[in-house]
Amino acid sequence: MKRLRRIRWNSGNELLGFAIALPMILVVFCAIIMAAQLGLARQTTEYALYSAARAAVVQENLNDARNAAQTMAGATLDSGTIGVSGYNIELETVAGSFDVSSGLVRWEKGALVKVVLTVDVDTIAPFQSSVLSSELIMMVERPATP
Amino acid sequence: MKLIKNRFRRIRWDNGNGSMLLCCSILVMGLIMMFLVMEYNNVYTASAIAQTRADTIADSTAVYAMGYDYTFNNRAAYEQAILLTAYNGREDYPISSTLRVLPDSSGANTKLEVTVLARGNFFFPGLTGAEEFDVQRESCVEIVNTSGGAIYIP
Repeated sequence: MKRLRRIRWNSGNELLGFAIALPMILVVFCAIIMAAQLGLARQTTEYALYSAARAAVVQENLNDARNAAQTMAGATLDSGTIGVSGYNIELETVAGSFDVSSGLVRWEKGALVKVVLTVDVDTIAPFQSSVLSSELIMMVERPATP
Repeated sequence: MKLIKNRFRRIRWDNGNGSMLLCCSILVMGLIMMFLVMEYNNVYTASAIAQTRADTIADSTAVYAMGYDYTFNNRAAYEQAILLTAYNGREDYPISSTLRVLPDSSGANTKLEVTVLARGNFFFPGLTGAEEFDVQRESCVEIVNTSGGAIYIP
């Protein structure tokens, strides 16, 4: 307290001034890096989602499509993004001709498949972890079977 | 510039508040940089969305409209493009699409050109001077008739 009282606030103290400003500068720079990181992650999520959906719709059946989408999303995200700690991809058919015997939408041309990609991003800020999610609806590109 | 230089020289670094002034300047520059990075990413995300949706619509439409007899159904193409545009719309970046069917002069190969327009909102409209922005991306698909016109089912 004595030391604090002795400071000549009107004339300034370089070290103190710098000490006050430095954390704020660090916070702003962290925010810049975080914004850039999240922006890149969002763009990569969109491209990974498209690649995964593209790989899925040409497969023979829904299970193969899930595996292909998983592999493709993993390959795209691993090579393209900084800070991605995990991801989850889900596929489901949302429209198409209904197969009575299996109770599912037929995996054939004309059926629409919804692909949802959720990505966990560890940003530079230690207190914040972000989850990015995007979905895409694409048509199955397999010939219809009688 | 000369005035700034003179003022900079007059700062008493050992006793004055020069470093505070400098730090505040860095802080302001950092904040401006952050705003720019955020807006840049906002526009590029809209661009990524527009491009991936254009590719999606073009691919799916081309496959859907191509019959098993290698004939191209224009009406089916437009229907599918409208359907996929509606399904792939987002709240934060709404999209609209335009489909152009460009028939080849020989009649064998048809090209589909899909243009997607994504609309986004600026995070800081006061700084940019506009509320919204539009990003337009295109995707073109050529349907190749592998039969060379040999198969024709009326």
